[in-house]
Amino acid sequence: MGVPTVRFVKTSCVAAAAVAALLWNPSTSAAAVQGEIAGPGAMQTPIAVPQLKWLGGPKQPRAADEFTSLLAADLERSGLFRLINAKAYIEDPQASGITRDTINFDNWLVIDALGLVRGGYKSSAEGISIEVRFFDTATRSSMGGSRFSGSIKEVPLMAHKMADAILGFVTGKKGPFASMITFVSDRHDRFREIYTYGFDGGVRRVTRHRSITMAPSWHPRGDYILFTSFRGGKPGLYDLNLATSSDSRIATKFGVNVGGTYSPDGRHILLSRERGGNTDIYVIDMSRQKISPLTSHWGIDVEPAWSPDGKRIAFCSSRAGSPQIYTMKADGSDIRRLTFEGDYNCSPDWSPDGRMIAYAGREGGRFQIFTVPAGGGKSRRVTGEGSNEDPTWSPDSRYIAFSRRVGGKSKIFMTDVSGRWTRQLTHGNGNDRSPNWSGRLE
Amino acid sequence: MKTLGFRAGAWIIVVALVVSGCSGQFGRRGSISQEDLEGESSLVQFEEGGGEIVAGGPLEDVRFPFDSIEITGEAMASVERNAAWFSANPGAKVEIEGHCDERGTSEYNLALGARRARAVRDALVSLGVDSQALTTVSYGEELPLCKESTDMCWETNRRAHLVELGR
Repeated sequence: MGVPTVRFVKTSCVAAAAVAALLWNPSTSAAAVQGEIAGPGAMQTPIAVPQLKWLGGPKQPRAADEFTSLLAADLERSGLFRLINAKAYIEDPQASGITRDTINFDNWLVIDALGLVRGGYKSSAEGISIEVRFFDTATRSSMGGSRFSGSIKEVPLMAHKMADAILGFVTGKKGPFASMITFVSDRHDRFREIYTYGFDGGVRRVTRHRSITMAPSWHPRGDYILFTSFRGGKPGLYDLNLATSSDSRIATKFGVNVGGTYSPDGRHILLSRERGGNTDIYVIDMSRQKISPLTSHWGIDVEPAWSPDGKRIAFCSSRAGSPQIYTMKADGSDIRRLTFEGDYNCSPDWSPDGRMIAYAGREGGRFQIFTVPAGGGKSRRVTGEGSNEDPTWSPDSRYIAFSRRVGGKSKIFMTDVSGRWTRQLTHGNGNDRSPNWSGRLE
Repeated sequence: MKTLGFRAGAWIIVVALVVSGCSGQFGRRGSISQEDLEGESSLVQFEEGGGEIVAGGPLEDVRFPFDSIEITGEAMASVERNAAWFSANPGAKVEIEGHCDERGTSEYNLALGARRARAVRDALVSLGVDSQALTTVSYGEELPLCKESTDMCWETNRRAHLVELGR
């Protein structure tokens, strides 16, 4: 992925200026480009995303439009691009070509499009096949392309995968949009139920517990959500099958359990468990149906989060007198404190690339999202506005979703790690809280 | 209706807050009519009672400072009055609910609520209440009495609430 990026930077003066502005540390070396990616929102590269060209088979204008609009929305949401109004386009997308040799790049350069997302589709009784390339208009070259085939129903996922691929062509790291966010909300009635959000904008309610539910967390495969519910009076762990929309209580024999989270291999569940008023962290071995304590301390130990390799666990503990972030080995040994500033730091989430831990910390009476290197180091504040809790990393480790209180209600937002680029994801009535971002969906 | 007894102090204010939606004046004493609500679990009130949690029951809420399980002077007086109620009501079974204000994380607050409930249980036992009569549960920040983001609401919500389950 580094090679086309370098070409983009080196051979195009216009594009180089834009990309240099995008980079944290402007540099033309492949290593820097691959490692340090862009700061979304710093400056957006103007791009055009014309309609897909029909290339054969029955016409599917609605699916083609849906693909283009979702792809454009993801690219805009990434903070890396600015979309040029389609009214400015000179070419008729159904008449002009979709490959390097058949595109008239001058028609795009003249409207200041530095990037061009160009593609077409063929359809058949079986479904649809879509191919798209991303062109650097100044160098008249393709930075990469992808072809997707599947049913019409899968077009939205194809669009998100295409957006993720384009982020990869430009920055060396794939994007995060072929994914979902689960969260807790009381938007429909007074009860707190589990919902999912997709980057198509769709919000779907997935539980009907008519009680309090908490702390939803994705299975690494993205097909199950583990959550806590008070249905029945005491909190218990439930596992929700998204395909059938049915959930069942698990680990019943282990008593009152809260906030379970699957290990990266899906074989273990970390959770908090209260006994005699004190809460510690436990791990359940699912195949052996065995529970073991990982912490045993008079302080509160909660909110365990796996490192992506499953070797360490971040958690929140009040053992030093106030809640702070710690990490330990997966067997509970080698406990290290990570946060030292402030009197309330909790909700750790480990970035999928393993490098950082995001958490919510109290500052000036409000909560803000911070990041700290997973091995220890200086904390950095990411948010500034409102009160913000429950950070969760995007699958590309480039963004953090969280809940922000605005106008007395909590909504789900996302920001890039620099905090410069923030977008509100959920709207409407009620409080949306405890977001958990899935991995990339296949 | 019931005669305003020693219990009125703390929870009459809570009732006033609830009635006024927590936004009004702090207790216009004397003009308030007090109804003795059945002691019912906050979760049951929430699930079956239209989502409105009301203070009530024969026992007094015990208040806590932020992120603390310390039973301070005023809170200890509440615990002592509750202990006296147990002497007058032998055989009563009571569930102690731990609650927190909305600040901080849901899971930490659930753990904190459990410690608050346990702290009140231990204080009651030290005053001679039979430990067999007491159970505990935490609802964390999930069932606030008062729903605004104000200091006064937060103070109301940081409580151990005692519910008589039966005899």
